[in-house]
Amino acid sequence: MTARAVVLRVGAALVQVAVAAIAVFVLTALLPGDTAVVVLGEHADQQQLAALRAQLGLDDPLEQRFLNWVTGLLRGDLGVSLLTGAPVAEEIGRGLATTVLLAGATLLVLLPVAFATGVYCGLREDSRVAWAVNSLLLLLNAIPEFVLGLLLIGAVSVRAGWLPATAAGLSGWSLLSEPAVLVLPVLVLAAKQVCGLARQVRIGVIEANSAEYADHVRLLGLSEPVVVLRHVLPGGIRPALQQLARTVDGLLGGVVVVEALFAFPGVGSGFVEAVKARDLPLVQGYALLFAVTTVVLSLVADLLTARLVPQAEAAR
Amino acid sequence: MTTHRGLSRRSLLAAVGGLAALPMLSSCGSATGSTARLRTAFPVSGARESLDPHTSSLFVDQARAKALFDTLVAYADDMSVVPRLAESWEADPTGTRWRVRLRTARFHDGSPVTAEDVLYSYRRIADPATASPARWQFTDIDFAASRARSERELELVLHRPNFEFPVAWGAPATEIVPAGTTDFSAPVGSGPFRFVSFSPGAPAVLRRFDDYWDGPAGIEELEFVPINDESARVAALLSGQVHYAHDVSANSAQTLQRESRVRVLTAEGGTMQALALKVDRPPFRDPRVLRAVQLGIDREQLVEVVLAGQGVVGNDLFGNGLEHYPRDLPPRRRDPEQARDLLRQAGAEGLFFELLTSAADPYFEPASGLLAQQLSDIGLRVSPRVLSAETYFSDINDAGVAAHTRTAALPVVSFLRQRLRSDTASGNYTHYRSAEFDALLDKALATADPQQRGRLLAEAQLLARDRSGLVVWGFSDWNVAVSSELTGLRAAPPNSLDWARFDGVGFA
Amino acid sequence: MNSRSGVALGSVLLGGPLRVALIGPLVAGSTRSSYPPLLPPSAQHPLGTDVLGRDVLALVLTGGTSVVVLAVAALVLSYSVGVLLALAVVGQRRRWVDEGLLRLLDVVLALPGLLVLLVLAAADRNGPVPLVLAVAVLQVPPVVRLTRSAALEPACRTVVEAMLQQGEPWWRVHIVHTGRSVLGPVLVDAGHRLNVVLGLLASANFLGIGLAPDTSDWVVHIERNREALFLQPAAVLVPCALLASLCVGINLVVDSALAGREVK
Repeated sequence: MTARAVVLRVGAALVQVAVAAIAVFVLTALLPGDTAVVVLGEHADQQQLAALRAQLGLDDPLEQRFLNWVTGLLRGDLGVSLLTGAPVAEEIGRGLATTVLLAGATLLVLLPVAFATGVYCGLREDSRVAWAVNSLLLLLNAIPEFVLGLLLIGAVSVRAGWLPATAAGLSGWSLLSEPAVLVLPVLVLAAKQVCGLARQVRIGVIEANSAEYADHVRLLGLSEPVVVLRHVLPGGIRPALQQLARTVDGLLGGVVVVEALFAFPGVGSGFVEAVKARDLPLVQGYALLFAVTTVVLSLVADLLTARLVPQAEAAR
Repeated sequence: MTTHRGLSRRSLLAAVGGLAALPMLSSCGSATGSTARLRTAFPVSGARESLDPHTSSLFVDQARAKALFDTLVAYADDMSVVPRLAESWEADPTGTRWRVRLRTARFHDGSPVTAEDVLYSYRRIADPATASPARWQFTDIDFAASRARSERELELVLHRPNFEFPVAWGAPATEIVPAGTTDFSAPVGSGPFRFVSFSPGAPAVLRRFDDYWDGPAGIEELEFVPINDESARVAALLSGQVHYAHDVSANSAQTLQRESRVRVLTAEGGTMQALALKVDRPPFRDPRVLRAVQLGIDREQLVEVVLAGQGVVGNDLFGNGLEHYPRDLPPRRRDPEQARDLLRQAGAEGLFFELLTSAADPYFEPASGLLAQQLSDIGLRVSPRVLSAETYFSDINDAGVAAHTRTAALPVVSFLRQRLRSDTASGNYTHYRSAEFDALLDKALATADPQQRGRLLAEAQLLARDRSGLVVWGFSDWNVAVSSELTGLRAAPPNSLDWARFDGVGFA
Repeated sequence: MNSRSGVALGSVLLGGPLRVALIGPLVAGSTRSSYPPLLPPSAQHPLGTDVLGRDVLALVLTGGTSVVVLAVAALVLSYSVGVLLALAVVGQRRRWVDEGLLRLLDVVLALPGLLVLLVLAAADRNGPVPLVLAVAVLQVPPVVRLTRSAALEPACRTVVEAMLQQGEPWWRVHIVHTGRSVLGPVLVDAGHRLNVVLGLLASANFLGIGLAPDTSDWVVHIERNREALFLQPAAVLVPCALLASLCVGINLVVDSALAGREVK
């Protein structure tokens, strides 16, 4: 990809983030009720509601509030949470370490396992073991995360007592002081995603293995292991790259359920709580984070694909 | 476990060569009694993450406030008033001047609890800017006339007579804070525990206050761990990560009965479950249609199915078993024949209406489905509509004609004043407006003689029972689950003194 | 194990739940709350009763239709829109149309799917139609991306160029021909996307949004009964097993059928 194309692509990415931010703002503003109602709950009377609304600035028109937010953003200030009064950046930051740790640990487990199984199933396509593994992965993918989580907690934590059931108050980097706490959530997350990734690797490997180029190279007398290593394996990586972006997306979705189930105070549960509390600035902050993550991942996947598969670009 | 003690014990045992895994899972707090940390798990969804007792709206806020602060009085199991910071009190014959004597007590910083502190706290609660849920009970105070008579004696003056005024002093969110406090990031109170650490989203850690007026607590440290998901709370308790799990569902309670490591403490009939039918608009403006619904539902089945048998059948009045609940109330029995008759007379056969419900309470949605089924037996077509849980109680103030509602145990007088009076600011979900009822209630509050007052309150309730539109079908049990090695905890209804009270707890 | 037995096994796994979903409602008993809740399996209730006192067997028999219809509707919707969109745009000579569409869809991709569902729920727009629409819309961007990348394969492109040279009409080249050649990857993706859609439906119900709680639908049953998982496992595990069988079955069939078609 030319430097110019890269710049254009990045520029487009920025526009995407901006549009996503507006869309999220509109969506959240559509939610009925507001923070004042949530905070005062059942005991709210009109006078208190009005006072609280004025205090939180909920009386300003939407465009005004959006503009305030954007100007704050350009200064690097994400605003303050309507519910707790703490800076949004701080609130999100607290959960970010937790989720990154969870997602990171999952990827650490996921990538090697998915790649290994994908390659194995791709090379030994017709073996019973490959089919059994394939079916097992499909099964794991088909079970809803919370069912798998509940079953694991019940069997492993409660009955057998081998592993802790929740984060029990830990968050962020302190989770590393009790790594056992991460095992079950990571298992649940990885179980769901390993299938998709492994399949793509498998498909890529099969295709690369049966491509004319591979046969040609074999005819030339290169040994099988070398063929596999230098020509087939890289073929498995390409489709997996695109799938990786989707996998991380899927992880973010699964993380919400897993964080709730295992009581991890990460960005997934933080986001859901923020929406429940109609805490607009906080929701905006989270949504911005997700949008940026998704866009960056797409960008990286596209750039890497372009580098590895120049012919797809040349043909257009 | 996560405490430093836990880690050092673990490494010690590992060094001894024991099974390294086990100490991680055995409950950390069962060390020598006075150096133990009690870990409790509470849901915190929607919390403002502040230790300001006057704005507490969630149970976790109240539990923390109870540990850090004190109120003048508290509620016994039947919601009658027991003295706490207030040693004694009396009213003048008009019921508008109240003299309160405080006991000797200290705040965590050593300063004594004085009448000025009480006045400051109540002024703050009554101030609309504080946004306190307890405000409505303090608006009647004439703060200009109220004063401190001495260091520990104060005089509260009301605009209107109210012989049940002490009830307000024990309400949630009425804790006493030192005069002048505006910042609660490191709060100072007079409660059994003092502040150690708290940051939003993280556990709150408190330490025993040795000079507590009621004697020092049995445990050294108290921790409030935030766990929103109910199954996660139960799992944390079962695997030994916490010792106390707040608000456990009926089904979990059933599962936990079989476990010897935990005990379930059940406050029977602690929470009223009701239908709020709006009586200021059709169809329930017609008393016949209202009566038909009261006769058409099957309360026993509701309790058996929705509450899994863990509850008490309701009799269309709040406060079963509490002080001032009318005695010998004849039960409302299901009578589909009469119900259908009434509907025929009212020309409301085949009537369709929406029943508003939400996930705000775990029993609402199951109850809607069952109610729709039961009412279809008498010819009514009911369609449950799910609203969003967070804004539910505000939404149902004005919307629709029928909605679910629930109220945890509170003094009956508070309930009547807040929910059934015609001039309440909010909470009157049925829009019941009866001058007769208001008059009875005012007269009762202005009556000095407790017997006569009780009679008047009963009369008012009987009036409301038929016409207010509140169809109380049951009272759900309130469950908490605790580790079997804890002593000093007993089942208590929400908002009562012994509920979520940790200063008497010890490890067996 | 070869592709033929893969298809056979897959069909069995797929056929079971489908049969239950289609025929079940015709033979099921009443799903009224008439019994004590959480009864263990017995002669009268072969699978016991659920949290609301309804016969689990009857619920399982009637619950398939809803989930299958919803999932299929979401899939069909997202694929018809997504594939057509991708095919129409991929052949454009004007690159900006192609790029523009991708970027636009990526915006949708950047929207947290859960936010959309949460907003729907909070706006009291629960119920099957908004749910299906939302889930379908959220699937369109990945479908478009996938179709587009399959359509950009070199082998594909040369034939397309040739056909265009020969004067074949635009729609026949791009929609029919290219469509046929991307069918393979699209079908494989569809199998996988069924899992994603079902997963979204399950997560939605877990978060308390989606269908009315007393709907007879396997996903709803799993969510409703989860706190009684250890009291009455059948109420959760039977619908769960049926859903899993459906997913695994479809994927096995699609994978094996296509493996059989490939020329080695």
